[in-house]
Amino acid sequence: MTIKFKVIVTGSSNSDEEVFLIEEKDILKGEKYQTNLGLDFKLQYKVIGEKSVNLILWLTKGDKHKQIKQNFFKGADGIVVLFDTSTEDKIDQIINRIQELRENSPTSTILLIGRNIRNRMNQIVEEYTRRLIKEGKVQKRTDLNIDFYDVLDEEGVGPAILDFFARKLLSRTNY
Amino acid sequence: MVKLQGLYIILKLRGIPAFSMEFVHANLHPDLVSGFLTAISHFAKELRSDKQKDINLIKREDFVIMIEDGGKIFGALIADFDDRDARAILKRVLNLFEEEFDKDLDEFGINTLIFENFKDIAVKEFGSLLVNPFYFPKIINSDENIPMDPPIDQILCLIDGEKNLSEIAYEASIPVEEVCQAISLLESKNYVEMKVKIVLEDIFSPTEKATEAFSRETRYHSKIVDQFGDTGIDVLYALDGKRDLGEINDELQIAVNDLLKIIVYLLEEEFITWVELYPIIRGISPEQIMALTSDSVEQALAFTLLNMCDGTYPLSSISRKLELPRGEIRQFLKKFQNNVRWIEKKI
Repeated sequence: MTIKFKVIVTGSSNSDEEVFLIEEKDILKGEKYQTNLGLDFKLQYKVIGEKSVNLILWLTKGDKHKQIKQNFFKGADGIVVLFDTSTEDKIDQIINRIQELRENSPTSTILLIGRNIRNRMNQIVEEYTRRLIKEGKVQKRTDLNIDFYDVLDEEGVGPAILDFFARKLLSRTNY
Repeated sequence: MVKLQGLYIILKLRGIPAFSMEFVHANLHPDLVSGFLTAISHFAKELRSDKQKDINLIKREDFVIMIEDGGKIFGALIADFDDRDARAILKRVLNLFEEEFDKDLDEFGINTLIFENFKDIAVKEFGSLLVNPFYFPKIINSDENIPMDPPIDQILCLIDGEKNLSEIAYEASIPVEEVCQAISLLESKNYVEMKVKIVLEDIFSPTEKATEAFSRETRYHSKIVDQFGDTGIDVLYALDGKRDLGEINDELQIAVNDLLKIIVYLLEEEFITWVELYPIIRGISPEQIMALTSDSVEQALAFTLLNMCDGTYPLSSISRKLELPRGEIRQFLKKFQNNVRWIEKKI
C-alpha cells in the first residue's frame, strides 16, 4: 500500500523579499527537480510499518510571486514552515503566518520549524485559539493540526523531521 | 494513428496522481509530472483573469500533453500529436474514474492501491488507439483466468493467426473499435500478442508526419535516407493509398524483402498507415452485369460482388469470404468501370 501526500515546504513571510530559507542540506538527500516556476519538487519515500509513504515535496523557494504561489497551498496535506533559524520570530509573526496559510489550506497539517519554537508552543496555540474564538471561527480550544519543531544552531533541519511529519500525516488517514 | 505514451489522472487541487500508466516506457515520474502540470495550471489561472479556462495542451516538437478537465480531477495524456479521438477517450476515462472513485478522492492522503484496478478500464478504453486493426492476434496463454465476457469469448473463437482484427470484427459482426478494446485488454494481461503481417496486397498511405520527410532538409528525410538510401524515399512517394505493394514493386523494381523491410520501418515510425478499401457498386442493372462477361462463373462472381460491395465491407473481408486474393477482386471489379467507387479508410 502506498499513501501519497502533497507537502509544501515554505518559509516565514515578513516581507515580499525573496528569502531562501531552504537549502539542499535542509532536506534529505535525493534528486531535486527544478521547474523555473519559483517551485522545485523533491520526492521522499518512507516506509512506516507495512505502509509506504510518498511525500511529494513542493519547495516554494521564498515569497517572490507570492500571489501566484498561494494556489500551491490549496489541497496540500501538509505544510512545513521554516522560520528564520538564526533568530527567534515573534509570536505575533508566527501566528500571522499560520493564519495566512490557513486561508488557502484549512485542513492541512502544519509543521512549524524554528528557533525555540517548541518551548513557546503553548503560548502560540493559546494566542492563535484566542484569535480564532474572537473571529468566531471556533467555539473552544480545538485540535489545530499544528506541530512544532525546534532547531538548534549546529543541527540545521535534519532527516528526522520528515520522518516525524510522515508519521503525523499517516496518523490522520483512514488507511 | 496517434502513439500514446502515458496517462495521468491527477487530483486537481492537490496535484497528486491518483492513477497513472505508461503505454510505452518513458521513465517519467508520475508524482513529478502531476505536480508540474498542476503548478503550471495554477500559474496560468493567475496570469489571465478568466479563471474558467484551463491549459488544454502543452506542445513540444516531438510530443504533446493533452489535458482534459474533470470535476475533482484532470487528465493528462502524453502522445506524439494532439488527437481528437484520444481527447474524447480521455474525457470518457475521467468520467468513469470519477463515477467509480468519487468518495475516495476526498480522503486525506491518497492510497494508490484503491485505484490500481482501473488499469483494465483504461487499457480497454484506449484500446482502439493502442491496437492496430491490421495486426494479427495470436493466443499465447489460455489459462482459466482469461476473461470470457462477451464479446471477448466471441473474439477468442475467431483468433486463428490468419485473420487480422479488422477481419475478426467483420466475421463477429462487432465494431472494429470494440474488438480493438477487447484485444488491448487481453494483450495487457499477456493472453494474446499482436503480430504485424505485411503482404503484397496491402495498401498504404503517407501520414502527416511523412509530408515533412518529403523535404530534403528535414531530419525525417535524413533518417530514412540513412537507413535505406533514396529507395526509402522513393517507396514513401509511391505509397498513394490506391496501389498495393505488388503494383508499387512492379514499378520500382526492388527486391520484395527489401520493400517489406522499408514498409515495416515506415510503419513503425508512423510515416505511413494502412489503407482499407471499401468498394461500392452502384447504378448497374442485372442485364448489364450479364453483359460484362459470357463466363457463367464470372457472372456469378459479379452478382456476389454486387451484393457485397455496398461500402459496408472492406476488401480484405470480401477477399476472405470469397477466398479470392484482394488483387484478383480489384482486377475483376475493373470490369464494372465507372459503376465502382472506392472508399479509402486510413487506419
